[in-house]
Amino acid sequence: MFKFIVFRILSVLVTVYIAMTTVFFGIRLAPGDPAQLLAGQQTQEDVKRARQFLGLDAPIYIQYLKFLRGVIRGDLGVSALTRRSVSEEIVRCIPATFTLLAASMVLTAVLGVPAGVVCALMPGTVWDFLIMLLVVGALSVPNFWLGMLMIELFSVRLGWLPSFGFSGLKTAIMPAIAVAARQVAVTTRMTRVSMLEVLGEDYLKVALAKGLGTWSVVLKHGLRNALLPVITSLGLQAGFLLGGSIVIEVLFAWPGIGQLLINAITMRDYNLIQGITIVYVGGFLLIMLFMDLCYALVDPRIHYE
Amino acid sequence: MRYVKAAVLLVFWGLLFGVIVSGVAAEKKVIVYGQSMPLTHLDSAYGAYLAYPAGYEAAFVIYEGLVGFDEHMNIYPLLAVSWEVSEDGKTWVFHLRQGVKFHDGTPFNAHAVVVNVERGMDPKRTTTNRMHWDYWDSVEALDEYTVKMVTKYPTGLVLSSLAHGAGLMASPAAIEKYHDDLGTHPVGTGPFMLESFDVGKELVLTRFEDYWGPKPGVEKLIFRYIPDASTRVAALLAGEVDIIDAVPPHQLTRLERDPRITVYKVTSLRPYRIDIFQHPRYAKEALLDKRVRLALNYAIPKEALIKAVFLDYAVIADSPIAPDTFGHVYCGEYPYNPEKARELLAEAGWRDTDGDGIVDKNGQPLQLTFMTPDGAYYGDVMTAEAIARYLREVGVDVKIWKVERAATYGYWTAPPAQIQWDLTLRAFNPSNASGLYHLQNEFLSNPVDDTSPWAWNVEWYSNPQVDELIKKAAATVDLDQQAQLIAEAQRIIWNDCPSIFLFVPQNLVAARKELKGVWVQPVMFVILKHISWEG
Repeated sequence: MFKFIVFRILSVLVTVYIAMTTVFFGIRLAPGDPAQLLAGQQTQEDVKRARQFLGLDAPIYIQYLKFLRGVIRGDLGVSALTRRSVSEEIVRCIPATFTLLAASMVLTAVLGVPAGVVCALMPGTVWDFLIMLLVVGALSVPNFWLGMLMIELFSVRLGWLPSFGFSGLKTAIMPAIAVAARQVAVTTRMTRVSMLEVLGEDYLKVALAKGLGTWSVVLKHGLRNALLPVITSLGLQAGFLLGGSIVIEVLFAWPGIGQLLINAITMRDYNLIQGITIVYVGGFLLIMLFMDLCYALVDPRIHYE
Repeated sequence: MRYVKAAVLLVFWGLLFGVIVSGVAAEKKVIVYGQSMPLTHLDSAYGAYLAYPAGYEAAFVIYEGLVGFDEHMNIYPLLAVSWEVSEDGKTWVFHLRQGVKFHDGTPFNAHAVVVNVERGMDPKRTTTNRMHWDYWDSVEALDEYTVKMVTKYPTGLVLSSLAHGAGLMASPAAIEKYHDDLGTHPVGTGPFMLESFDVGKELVLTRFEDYWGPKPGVEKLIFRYIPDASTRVAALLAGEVDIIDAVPPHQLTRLERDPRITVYKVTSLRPYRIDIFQHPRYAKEALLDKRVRLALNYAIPKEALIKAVFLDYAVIADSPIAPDTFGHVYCGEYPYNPEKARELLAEAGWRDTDGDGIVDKNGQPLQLTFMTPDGAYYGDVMTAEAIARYLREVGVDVKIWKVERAATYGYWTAPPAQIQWDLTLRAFNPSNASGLYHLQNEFLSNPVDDTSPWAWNVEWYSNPQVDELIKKAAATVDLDQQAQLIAEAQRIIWNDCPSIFLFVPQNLVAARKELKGVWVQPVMFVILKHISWEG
């Protein structure tokens, strides 16, 4: 087990290295000159000076070596936009990103899993149909449109919820709903399919025959086994949310990593883009590792060597 | 027991009511401004307050310069009460206002000016806005409240540079203490001082009690970043912010009809135009012919575009520079006349000989590549697509090439041999409201022929007469003379017809009607120095 974890962590490091190198060269090859963007509406002389200031006048392999040296020392460089360290910029986004991630994952799990179970227990009934109808609805609605509608209703017309920003849990409600809508739909379908498969299994019939109560059978034996694919799905969704939800963050002026990234890309803030990539890729892979370890806990048949 | 319960409830509701009332009363002393761009730092020496215009808007309430721009971009004395310039136009003497203090208590005096100007002059410490600093030769304190500043050559840009955001004065003690961190610890002489700065998110300023001028009528001014336009409007309507900028035209009508809101519509300094690439060696031969360029102008119904794209919140361009730019004069019009456009094309040898709808000459169809930025200016793609359609109607085959905002700069400023566009939609904003500065940037001939344009003459227009006039105007310290020279230059440029001159959009700002003293400047800045709340 220990060897497994070590091996996985090494592979995470290798993947992060490949990702950050690809991004490093990729953004430099893409059109768009950070020096020009920093200098704005000024002359070419100013642009040249800005380029020197950003360290972009050095040959590309020298820039790469400097970057690698920095990463090893934990120094991700300085953001061209704010002149503060990239790590500081990213850390400041963590509370907002994490709050949105947690709130939407809670909504997803609390609404999606039980809905899927209900559908699986009563397939073909009115309930199943209605829930599936809502699911299709939630999947078809673009999340920013849902967000805009909610702002119009709950902030402008009713004045119940704040329309933008992150200042307390109240402000997380609408963004979380906007993000979670699609996720709840996906989770419900996932849970439903998985439960239906498990409910048809013989061992459940045996448990019922043994005299166990229906609920105990459904939850302890049925759901627990059905949950594995659902955990995968939830884990993947959480992983994607690590990078923030760009559209929702822009709509709600939510100061998370998504907004940081989109501003960095718009202004070609190379250091910030590289830093966010490293954090995002590394974080995502670590979540995957965590998920895999969870499987071992949930399913005793799973061993890792 | 019943009475105890009643008493408890009474106390509870009383307290709650008290809290709400005091909260509401306190609200009116705090004004919140929802900005469209993030505030990332407040130091004029670095990146000139990136994320235009947010940084400048905050800087202009925290700091002040020797002179300032009022609502109509006229220069008025601020930290300098009067000034003289020598006969040769190179020596400027400023008499400073006395009794002014910085937020940290440091007195404002000649020494402070010297520290700030030397910092600006040093290219290592001030990397941007060099245009406002490079002509200075020396600065010296003559006595505690008199400063002598000498330029390398006489230049008419001095006052507008000092009124510009580049000329704002920071406390020398703060410069000393914070160095590169001044961006997050701004200390100026303005009516509001820093309370807290959550970079990129929120800036909280409180009233500076020792301000030398009339104290603002509010205690706190908060700047918040709201990137999405519809959310900004929603926040204003919900009462979460008191003023917003960059209202998209299609949302403005709703706000105009709302009795709680006042709407400000100010013609900006940024004319939209279509640059026509006309480098003598690398441009298409057709575009070097003035008749073709005139035809392109007559082919476009500018009023119709203003109505459709800007919902009438724009003004037709009648000069290469915007109406409120210093030195603007009315130059003429190119009204919509597709017949005339076709005639001009025919005169230039372009006729549709093969009946495919596209004019041709010597067997070659007139095909132009139109590069448009996507997301750089409001309505950019919409305008470009409409224009392409009108040009096709007079027989010009236009291919649209959409480029992401960040990448357009590179394609605009590439060396002429590498230019891949014939037409491009572009807008220049002279942030010091100087017509001279605008003409210098866009219409002065590029000095070196095969490299990137030195500033923004990306179409490679060149007229030695215009160059002469601009250079003379630049060396003129007398503003009236300067205005005359610029006027002549403008007329010549207009008649040369180097671009398709379109229109000048309006800056649209909306605020609660109780908010008074808001200055919406044509340069796109919302100045909140003098606000008060009359509710």
